[in-house]
Amino acid sequence: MNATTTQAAVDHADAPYEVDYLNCKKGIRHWLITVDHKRIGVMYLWSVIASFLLGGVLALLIRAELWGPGETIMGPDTYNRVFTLHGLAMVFLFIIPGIPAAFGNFVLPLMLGAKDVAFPRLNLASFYVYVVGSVMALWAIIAGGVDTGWTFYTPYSTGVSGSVMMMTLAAFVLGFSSIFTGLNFIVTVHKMRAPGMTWDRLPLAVWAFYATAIIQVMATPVLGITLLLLAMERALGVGIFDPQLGGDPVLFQHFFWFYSHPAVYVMILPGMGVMSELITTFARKTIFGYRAIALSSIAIAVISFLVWGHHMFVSGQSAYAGMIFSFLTFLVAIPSAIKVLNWVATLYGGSISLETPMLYAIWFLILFTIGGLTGIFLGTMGTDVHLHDTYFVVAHFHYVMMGGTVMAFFGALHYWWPKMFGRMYNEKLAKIAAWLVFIGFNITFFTQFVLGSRGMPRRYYDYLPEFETLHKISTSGTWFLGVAVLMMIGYLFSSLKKGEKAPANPWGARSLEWSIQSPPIEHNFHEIPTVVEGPYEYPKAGAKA
Amino acid sequence: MWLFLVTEVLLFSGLFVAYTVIKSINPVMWAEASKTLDVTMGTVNTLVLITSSFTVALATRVAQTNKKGEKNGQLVGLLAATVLLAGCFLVVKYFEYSHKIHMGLLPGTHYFYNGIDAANPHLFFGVYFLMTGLHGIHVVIGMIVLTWVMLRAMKGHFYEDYYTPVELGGLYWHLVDLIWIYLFPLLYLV
Amino acid sequence: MSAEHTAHGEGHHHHITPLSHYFAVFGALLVLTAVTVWIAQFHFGAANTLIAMLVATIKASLVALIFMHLLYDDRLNSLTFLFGLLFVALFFIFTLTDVYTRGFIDPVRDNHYLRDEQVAQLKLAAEAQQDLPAQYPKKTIGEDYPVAEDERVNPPAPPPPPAPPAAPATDAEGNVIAAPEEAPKPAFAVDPAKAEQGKALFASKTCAACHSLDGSKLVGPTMKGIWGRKEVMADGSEVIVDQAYWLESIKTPNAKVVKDFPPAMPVLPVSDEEAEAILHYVNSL
Repeated sequence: MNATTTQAAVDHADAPYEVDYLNCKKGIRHWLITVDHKRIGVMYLWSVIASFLLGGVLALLIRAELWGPGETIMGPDTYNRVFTLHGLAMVFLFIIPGIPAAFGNFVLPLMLGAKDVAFPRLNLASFYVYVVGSVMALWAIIAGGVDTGWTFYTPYSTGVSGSVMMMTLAAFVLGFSSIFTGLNFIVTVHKMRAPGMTWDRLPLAVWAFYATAIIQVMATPVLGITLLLLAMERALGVGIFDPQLGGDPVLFQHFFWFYSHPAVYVMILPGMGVMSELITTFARKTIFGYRAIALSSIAIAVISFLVWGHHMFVSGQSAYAGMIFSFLTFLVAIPSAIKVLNWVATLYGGSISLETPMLYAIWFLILFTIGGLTGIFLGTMGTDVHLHDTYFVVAHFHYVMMGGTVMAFFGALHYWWPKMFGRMYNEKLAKIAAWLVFIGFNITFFTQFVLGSRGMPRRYYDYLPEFETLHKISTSGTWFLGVAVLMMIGYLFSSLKKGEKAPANPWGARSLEWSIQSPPIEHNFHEIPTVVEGPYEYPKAGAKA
Repeated sequence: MWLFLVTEVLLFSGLFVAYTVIKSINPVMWAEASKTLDVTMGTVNTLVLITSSFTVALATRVAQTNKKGEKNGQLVGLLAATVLLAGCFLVVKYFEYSHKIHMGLLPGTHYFYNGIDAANPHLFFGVYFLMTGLHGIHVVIGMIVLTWVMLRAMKGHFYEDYYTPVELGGLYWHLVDLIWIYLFPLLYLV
Repeated sequence: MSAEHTAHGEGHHHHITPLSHYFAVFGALLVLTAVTVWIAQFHFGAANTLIAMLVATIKASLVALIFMHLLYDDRLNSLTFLFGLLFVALFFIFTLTDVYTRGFIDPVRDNHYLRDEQVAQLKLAAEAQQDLPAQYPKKTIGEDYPVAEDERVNPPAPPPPPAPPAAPATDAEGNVIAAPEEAPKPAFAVDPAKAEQGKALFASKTCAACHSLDGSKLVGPTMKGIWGRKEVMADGSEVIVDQAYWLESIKTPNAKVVKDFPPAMPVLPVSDEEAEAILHYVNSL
């Protein structure tokens, strides 16, 4: 236990251990029909980790192929399929459901002081819909492969062979899962808060999940109709998106990005929420600018719907629309910057302890800032025309998605692992892995900024000999990442068996989920707690808050 | 529930956007192709749906005022009327569809009607079939939901303190009506 | 949903709307349906859509407020619904911003249908400029003939066929540019067989959708008196309609667009012979 043990944790420190949610009802059958948000969260966690590993292996293959120019380990068609699959697996199966569905499901009710989410059965349904969608996606891959890239741009996607149809339906089904989760979270936040849990006492992660849910609910139906239209286009040749038939292919891109740009924030917002928790916990200090961070989450959610056109500067939309979108894109930088500055201000004067989750939080800060700043280059129409579809873009979104979201995911994984499974992992190994991730990540993707600005186009299978050195450096970085992830799997799994038993509050955090035993009992709280203070009321030690 | 309705609205909004864009690209074709639709049938269907919306609204009201434990024939009757009207809607739709299929007014590459003197008329029918088709699917879902509600009403499940299924089924049905209220003038009249 | 559940669990009663309201709304909906059908018979142009949408919105609001109880319900529901509509509006506004402003900044290069053609043209113009005879030193890009097909979009087309014997000599390449502005309209010798063929093509190739034969202005310029007409282009240059321009306009419709018309013409599958037949037809009227 820590010196700054909270009052809540003390209450439970000597409480006898009770049967927890993991072993209250044993047997696979009870897991499969459970409506317990914690079990659903854990099942989601395993699924998204499996998807992450799949996507990761594919990423290693892609980089291995790019080790040298020409064919290295696979042919160009296979390569196209592999990178499409990498994108689809990472985006639809891992990042989008990752933090909200796995950790959100687990901690959201705990943080609110609720016994479960508002619609537990809908929650289970969303998990199974997710599973069905994933299986369909895998089936599409086995049955013929998809090589359209994850964006399914028409008219290529309506004409090309392969199992695009199946993949489209898979994404459609996954969209439902997303909507269900989103609906559930919104209603839970509105209706299930414990007494005293006012809006300004919500943990910031909850705010972030709430904002995410708004985006999911508002944007995903449009993805649904987009994919439905795409399917119809393939099946019947309707022609809405086909210029040969009088349609407008750019319209498809509008449809697609109306969903997919906000979806980018579905990916990053929960990560930001996790960040707020991690930073304040490990700086042992009240968050700086609570209100600003909370509102900036909502601002990001809304603004994210205004900027999709910046994916289309060179796609044939009007230059006038491009100008508007370019301008609006800069607006997104404001709430994002507010968050980063507030986190830094929180760190300032805090008593920072560099445990593994905090390391990931710091990686997030560094990498996300780089990712965000390079985003401004791309949001500027003039430079985008040069950099569009180069490795610069690849590097940019990997810095945001992987440097941001995945770092937050790793942080969350290490942060809530003791709460979820009641065991501590090996801190020393975890720190080594965290450093490897950071080093490997930068070797892999920083070189890609250089490659991109020198004109290496993205998605290409082959390249000019002068890019070879940089490609080799980039590929070698992925090996660090691979090793780090393997290590992580190793020590996390061994902790399940051999790990030290986790106390209720190993990190000395203040939010509600740490006030109950690890792992929690089946119904979370014996009685619904009454909240009397905000989630970040750390005793003011040392510097002034 | 309202949140769910919003997702439905957004789902349809995609089609409305497609409609607007395609129409603005092919204005003359649009006007020509739209003339082939049967306004009478469309109007009849509009009236049918409005009436069904009315009956389901009354049903909700009856459920709200029903005393506990009473079986209420009025409630069942109103719900049955709604389902029946939905059936009427589909029957009319069926005649419209079969007529069009017969004429070759099919979406996309299946299109083979030559009577429209403008470029790309298949686009109009693509949009027409997608919009009405998706709406039709919603009608069918609505019928299933309302039939289920009706069966429960026959067992006397609903009374003044518990009528949520009736209300939610009704809300869903109203939404189906709302969408049709927009589809009708957009496709048949403009 | 949970709102209702908990509310009813506590025995809370929702507002019960008087029957008369339902009947009044029902009546209003029927009347409004009649109104919208009736109004649609008149042609107000764009206003038709506006009126229809207005009526539909009134109807929709009635249903939402009374039938769906939004008027009496938790304000949160209305808020949710309006929030959803806000997003629908955003979706509309931005997509349409794009669609309606294509060509707003640069009529040709700013339109993805046209840009590729323009690029090919510029290349060709650059080549042509190098071997130009001295008497044409100041030709602007837009006046160069013939226009190259863009190989990425269309298969390379054969060069324009030699002028048929029936066609006047004035349509030889390059002559038109030098033609004085005051020159009388050249006559066009119509071949009746070709004109007959052209008549069928004019209908089947959907030309009539945008081009009138009686001088009225539709989406595109009228075909009445097209031959030898001097047209002012969107970029301010002037062109006299001859065989070469005719072919160009059909093959690469948006390379030169007549002022005040949208660059909206699609590339249609029309062969050179067919294009010529249509030319005969429009001149036969």
